[in-house]
Amino acid sequence: MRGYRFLEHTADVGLEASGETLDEAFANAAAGLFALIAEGPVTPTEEVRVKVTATDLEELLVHWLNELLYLYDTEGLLFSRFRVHIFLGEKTGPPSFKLEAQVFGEKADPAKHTRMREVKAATYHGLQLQQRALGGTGRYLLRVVFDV
Amino acid sequence: MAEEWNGPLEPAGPGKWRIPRDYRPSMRTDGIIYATQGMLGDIRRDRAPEQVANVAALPGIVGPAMAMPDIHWGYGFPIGGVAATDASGGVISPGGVGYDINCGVRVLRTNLSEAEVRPRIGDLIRKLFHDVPSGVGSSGKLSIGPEELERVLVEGAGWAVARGLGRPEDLAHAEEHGAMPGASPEAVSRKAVKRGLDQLGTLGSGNHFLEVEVVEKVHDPVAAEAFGLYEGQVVVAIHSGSRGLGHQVCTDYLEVMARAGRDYGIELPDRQLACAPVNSPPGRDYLAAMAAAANYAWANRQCLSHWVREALVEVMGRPEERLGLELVYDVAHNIAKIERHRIGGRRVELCVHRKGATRAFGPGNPAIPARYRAVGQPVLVPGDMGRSSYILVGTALAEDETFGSACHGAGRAMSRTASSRQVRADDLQRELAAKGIVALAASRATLAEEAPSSYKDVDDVVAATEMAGLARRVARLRPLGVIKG
Repeated sequence: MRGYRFLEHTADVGLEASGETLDEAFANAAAGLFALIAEGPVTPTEEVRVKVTATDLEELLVHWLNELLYLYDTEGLLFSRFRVHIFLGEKTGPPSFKLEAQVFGEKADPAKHTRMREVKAATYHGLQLQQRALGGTGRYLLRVVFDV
Repeated sequence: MAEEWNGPLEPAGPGKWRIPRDYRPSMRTDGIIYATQGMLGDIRRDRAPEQVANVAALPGIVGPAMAMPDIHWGYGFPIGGVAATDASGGVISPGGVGYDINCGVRVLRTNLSEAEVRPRIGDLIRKLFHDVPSGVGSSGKLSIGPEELERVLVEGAGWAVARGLGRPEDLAHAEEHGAMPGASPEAVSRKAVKRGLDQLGTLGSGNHFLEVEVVEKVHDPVAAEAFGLYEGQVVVAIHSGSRGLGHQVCTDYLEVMARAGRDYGIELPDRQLACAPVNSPPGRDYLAAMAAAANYAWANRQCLSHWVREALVEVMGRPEERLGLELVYDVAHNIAKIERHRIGGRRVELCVHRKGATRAFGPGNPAIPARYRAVGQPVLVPGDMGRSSYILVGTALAEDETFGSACHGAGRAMSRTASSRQVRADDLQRELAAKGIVALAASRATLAEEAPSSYKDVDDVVAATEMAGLARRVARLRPLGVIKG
């Protein structure tokens, strides 16, 4: 169970990610992003710490994914494992929703990583964050569209 | 996408349809979509007219919210969207420009015929693929530091020419002379700068390409002569943008605008329309950062054209002077500009957003190079792999109706996921080869996703543009070879 799938969208690519917890759903969204960028196994040898803040959860998702894109674009790193911790905040006042993560991956290697795709950014378009109760267990569902 | 859009599209003229402002309470003005009747089915299925209606809600909008015939669903603004706001009281919206700031195209003409180039097209494409850095995450051949980058952001194409990567006359034949005024490196974030340092002089990926083409048909002999084009002539088109630096500027300012929207009490039907008054600190900062990113893209296309010239010299075995290789023109497809336009007899300063739309000024406009002024501005419209591209000319009617704007390209008809499933890169290469088109791509993923079947027919888009009187066909171009990132 991958925890993510791609959605039909004319010019861009939509991603739907799910998880038993918010942390897991955000991790699966990141996994989906890197599956979009490249095919091929990504060995989780290098660790990077990521910290982002936002004024709400939707914005936090966009900031999280765009921070990973920034790391890919500047360091050439692809990631495959994500240990995510989300701290909920207040919707008013300065940005108080926080995400701290350890992300693990390696530098993109043309011998291993193929079918590369350029992803410009995670957008706010069609952004959805839902908690669905299934037999008492909450299940989080995220939808985000990437500009490619 | 779910059901199709079933809002009103009233006939408003040849190739022109109106969404009346009473369609939604938030609309401050009408929506106008330029298209032929035959295109409306796809347009309704794509649902982009709803985005046109959303753009009509922008505070300070002047004239209708418009979309060109290559309209398709974007985020916030549709692709093909054109909207102007009052520069003193209205807003500026990064979504009205897009992530790839100054994604655009330039065309170089040559003195070569198809007969001379065809025997060497394989060598030429391989040489270009080798010499022009392309592909996802590609880094460039130019190594520049942060101070040098600041100069790039202000001087644009001029920076490259000053370093021997082009000819002085190139600048006169580019929109904004290859550099917009008002660019401010200080408004560009440290993150955007970091992304820009390594990527100058790279083609990028996605729908960016470099194409060797032949002028297959001249439709307007007078304009073609002014542009230096003739049937059978080989030209080279370069389609590229501001790379990671531009994407980051857009990402950064969407966030700035989201906060500003709250501060300025702006309510919008779509979050991606996030905006601030043009005449406010965030509005001014975005315009200054956007101009810097636009200049980066112009510098980028200038570098790429230099390497194209060098590659042609080497493969054709002739000195540059004997190959011609003059720049016909360079246009931006994703940009916002402060322009003066005539509204009700007065000249008004406007912020014109063109997202997937090209400026298309008509005859006599002083912004056009002297050599072209009598006929109008060249409008470069790339098609897609294996299909035609066009060079059009802008008109006075476009200046009256669309703030001097026209279409930019073919627009997508099929989703990228559906396209990769339907088209296999190998089949595509065979299909192109059967048409005599040599294609090299850095990634098989983009080759499949960018397949011609994924795109609307550029012939239809151009016919609709001409029917509406926004631009006129000058020449149709056919591809001989293409490289994609």
